[in-house]
Amino acid sequence: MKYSFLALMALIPMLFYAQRTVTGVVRDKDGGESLPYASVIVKGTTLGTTTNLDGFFTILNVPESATNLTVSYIGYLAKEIALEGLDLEKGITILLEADANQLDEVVVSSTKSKILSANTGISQASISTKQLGLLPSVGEVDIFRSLQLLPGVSGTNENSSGLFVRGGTPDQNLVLLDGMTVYKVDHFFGFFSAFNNSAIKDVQLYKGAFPAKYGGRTSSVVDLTGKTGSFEEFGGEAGVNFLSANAFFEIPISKKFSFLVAGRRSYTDILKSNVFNSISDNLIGNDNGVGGVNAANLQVNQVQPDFYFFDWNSKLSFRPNERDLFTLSTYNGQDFLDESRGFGRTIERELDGNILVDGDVLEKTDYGNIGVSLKWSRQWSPRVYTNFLAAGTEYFSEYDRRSRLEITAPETGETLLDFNGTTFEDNSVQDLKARFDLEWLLSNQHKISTGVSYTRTKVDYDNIRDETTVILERRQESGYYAAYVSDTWTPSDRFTLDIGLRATQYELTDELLFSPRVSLKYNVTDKVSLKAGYGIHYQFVNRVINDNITEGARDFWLLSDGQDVKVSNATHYIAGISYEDNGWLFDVEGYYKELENLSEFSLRFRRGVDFDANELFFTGDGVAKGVEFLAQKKQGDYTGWVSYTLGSIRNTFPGLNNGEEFPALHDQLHEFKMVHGYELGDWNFSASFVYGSGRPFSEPAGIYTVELLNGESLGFVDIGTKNGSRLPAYHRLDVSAHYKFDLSQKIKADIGASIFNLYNRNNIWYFEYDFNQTPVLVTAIEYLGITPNLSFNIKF
Amino acid sequence: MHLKKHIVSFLTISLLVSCESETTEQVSENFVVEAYISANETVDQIRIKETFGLDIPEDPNTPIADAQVVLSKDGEDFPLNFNEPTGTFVFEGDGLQVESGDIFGLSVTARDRTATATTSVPQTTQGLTINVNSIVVPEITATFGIQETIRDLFDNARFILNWDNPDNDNYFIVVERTFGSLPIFPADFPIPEETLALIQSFSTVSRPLTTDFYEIPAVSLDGYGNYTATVYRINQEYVDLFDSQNQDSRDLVEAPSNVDNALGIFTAIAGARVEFEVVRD
Repeated sequence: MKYSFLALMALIPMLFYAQRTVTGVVRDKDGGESLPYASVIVKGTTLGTTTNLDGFFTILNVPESATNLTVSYIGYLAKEIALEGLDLEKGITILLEADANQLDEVVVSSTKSKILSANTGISQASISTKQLGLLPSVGEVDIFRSLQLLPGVSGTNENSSGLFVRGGTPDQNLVLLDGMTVYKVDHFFGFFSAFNNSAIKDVQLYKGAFPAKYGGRTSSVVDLTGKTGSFEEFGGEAGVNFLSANAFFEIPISKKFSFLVAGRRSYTDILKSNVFNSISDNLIGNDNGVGGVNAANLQVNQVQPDFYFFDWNSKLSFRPNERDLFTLSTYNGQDFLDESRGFGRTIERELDGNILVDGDVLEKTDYGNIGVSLKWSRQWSPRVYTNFLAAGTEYFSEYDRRSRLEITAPETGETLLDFNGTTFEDNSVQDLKARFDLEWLLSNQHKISTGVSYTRTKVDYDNIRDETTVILERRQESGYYAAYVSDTWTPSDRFTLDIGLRATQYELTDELLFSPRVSLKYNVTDKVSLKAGYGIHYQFVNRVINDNITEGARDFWLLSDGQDVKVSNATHYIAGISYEDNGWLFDVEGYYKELENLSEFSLRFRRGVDFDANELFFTGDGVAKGVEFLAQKKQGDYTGWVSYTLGSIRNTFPGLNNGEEFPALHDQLHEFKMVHGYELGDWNFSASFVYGSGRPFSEPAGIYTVELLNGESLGFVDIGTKNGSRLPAYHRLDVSAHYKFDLSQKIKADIGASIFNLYNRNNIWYFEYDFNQTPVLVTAIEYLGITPNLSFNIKF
Repeated sequence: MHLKKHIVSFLTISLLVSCESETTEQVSENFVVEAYISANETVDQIRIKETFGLDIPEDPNTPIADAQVVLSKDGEDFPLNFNEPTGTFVFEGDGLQVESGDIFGLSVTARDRTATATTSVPQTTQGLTINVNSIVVPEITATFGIQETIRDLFDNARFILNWDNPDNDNYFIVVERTFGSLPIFPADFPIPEETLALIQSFSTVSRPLTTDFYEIPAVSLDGYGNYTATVYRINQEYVDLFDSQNQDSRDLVEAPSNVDNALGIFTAIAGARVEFEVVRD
């Protein structure tokens, strides 16, 4: 008996030896770029994993009987790798090929999703930067615009590339570029996102209940991973369209060093192209300076903006061996907008004769982000991976407006009114951050992620009127420590539970906050999955909504100080079901979010000149809820998706709207989107359609006068219910066509044509009211009308 | 496959249902309360009127004649009636006295909504005096040195009102001509801009003041004749309203109102009056 037991004990290691560890890295065949979050599955089993940030993967206990790995990545052709004959101890390198290359290799079995992968985890989606150029756009290939085509992400905000995700606002969306926090993600009034698609290799969007490694935001996360650059051969891309030009180069300095640089600049300030004129004409309405009438008897004025932007990315990479990677990454994106305009009109009055109104507004806005990050990542062993990051970013926004209005009676030459006003608003946010992350693969059932970080943030804000009236001044600085641990637990083939906890010590309010995170996925069958998620999320730097009735919102960032702006938090509850086969994905997710300590800033309740700025801040709570539907055709010549979101966001602020509930500015009951793509040989055609029901806004309900004791009358505006009116519904159809051809053996070319807003829908952005004139001058600021564009890109 | 069909059908129906009217949903149901009551005077300065649209250049002053307006004091209600010629609501019965220290409530029901407000009647201005009751202003003609004469008159020929105000309460002064029509400055008299600006810097209606004096340059008045100067003690709600007259179109300020569920003001005042005259040499 004793010997039998010993024999059994001796056999146990042999059982383990009958299994193998498969480790390796997944790279782009074209340039060797590592591919993060690629799926690696042992064929014929449920064993599998995803690659980490640097493309590494490890699968433990792979049976000897397993013969192949199936590797797939969004936008790439999936590949089967035969394990036989490979040196598994050394690690394997798997090269995937972008779907668009269309080479005739027999290893191709199928593609993963071509552009969108929406069923990786609960509320998680990724898009392929390789394929984004095929989607219609106003001129630039745009990562964030593409994300706005997903369910649960609002697609009706032309003025913001920022993401409104499930009732969250863009500031509640954490945007990371190589670990750097990016505060402003817009170019060109928000028409384009501030990221050059050529320099980005991976985009992950978490719409809710995001993993414990992410913190500091209450709504969602966009994690952008920049390209490392090739270590082997020089390559690049260049492109031009009617708005801007861009270029991207990857320069191998040696076998261990690589340098990558990418840049874009619009030339609208130099050359007024047709597309630029299209934008201007749409904003102006006609040539004589006074626009048409958009509401009964209300004269509509013009705005003719002049603008340009630029951005560039660079990355210096040092790869001393296959296990280590050092990168120094920089980013700079800036916009310069000039919305100055003049106006003049004659108003006919029956009794007093005509009056002449003359004036001008000088209005300039500069904003942007600058950032740098230094990262060292190392795959210590097949089971252990670490990542150390030091990053600094600065966001700035400078707004300067000077206005002059003179009203005269031309018959007498009498000056009836001479008004001058100035507004000066500056806001900056500076972040310094150090972070350490560790991933430890305990077994195929347990993958531990843990990390610590320290972030120091400095915020300045100045809002000054008429050079003497200080509306608000803030100088803030604070740090916060964070630590997290999570376990991705796979107790059975069908069940995955990701459970984590994040703790944050915020210095300014001296609070220690705990954020539990849970997400789970249960595969009912091979094709049907149930999903659920839960999480508590805190936010310490907030973009405060500046309620501006006459000009729309002009928001600004402030740190939570526990008084004016409190530490906001959101509790997410998510549940969903999906059906996915090789060709189709049907996905339904419902969400319910409790939002606490939302902040709003409003001058509506200012009293006199000597007001207390603290009284202009309001704190409240909200509830966002909704359900999303997605039907996606993933493969074939025809691909695309249809999505619908039914949602609502209701806020309650004791100090606003008489304490009654009101819809948030971005509340939208219905949103419907369609994205279609069709490949025909070297041609690619695509179309996208977006419909969103009208958004709320605070509309002046009327005017009234109050007669004083002496008979003199004072005029006032009845501001009406907060967000009590709705803009007309928004809808838009964009189309594009691309033709690919080879300029030479090494140079591939793509010529494309796109039409934005094909049927020229006049979608209204907001109304601007000028109460210095009677009748009141109302300016309807519209979004872009029909805007065709051509693009030409080469890759070598 | 059935699942796919159901989802596609649902999305199609949702799209159809979601089509909306492309108009904004603006409805202005608010009305304006403009109600003043004065200590020891009859109640005849209460107006209820409509707001007006942004596209209308001037206030049409449309009264809401069918509003139900009730004043209340010490638990007793005093319903007011609409007086068409003046467009105001008045109390036509007996027994309504407005006295310093009273607290009045106002209830206005119109357009299916009821607005309410309260105000207290302040104490009457105490210790009101004037330095002189008569000032002589010579005839103004275009002669050599007249500009210096005007400047001298502006600086020195002044009525000065004084009253007790140890607590820096709010006061409001109204100067009205009760007799006379002769102007001080002939219609074609060329007044230099600088002098004109000085003269016009005075207003016959003051801003709310927390001082205990008010100066009235004789040459700034409308003309020769008899005048009354009334110094009203006013409540904070009136000061707030007055201060808010400079609404900034860049960031509209909610006009202050002590009326719940409507716009405007309900306030009480209590004044004392003095008389004086400007005579021609």
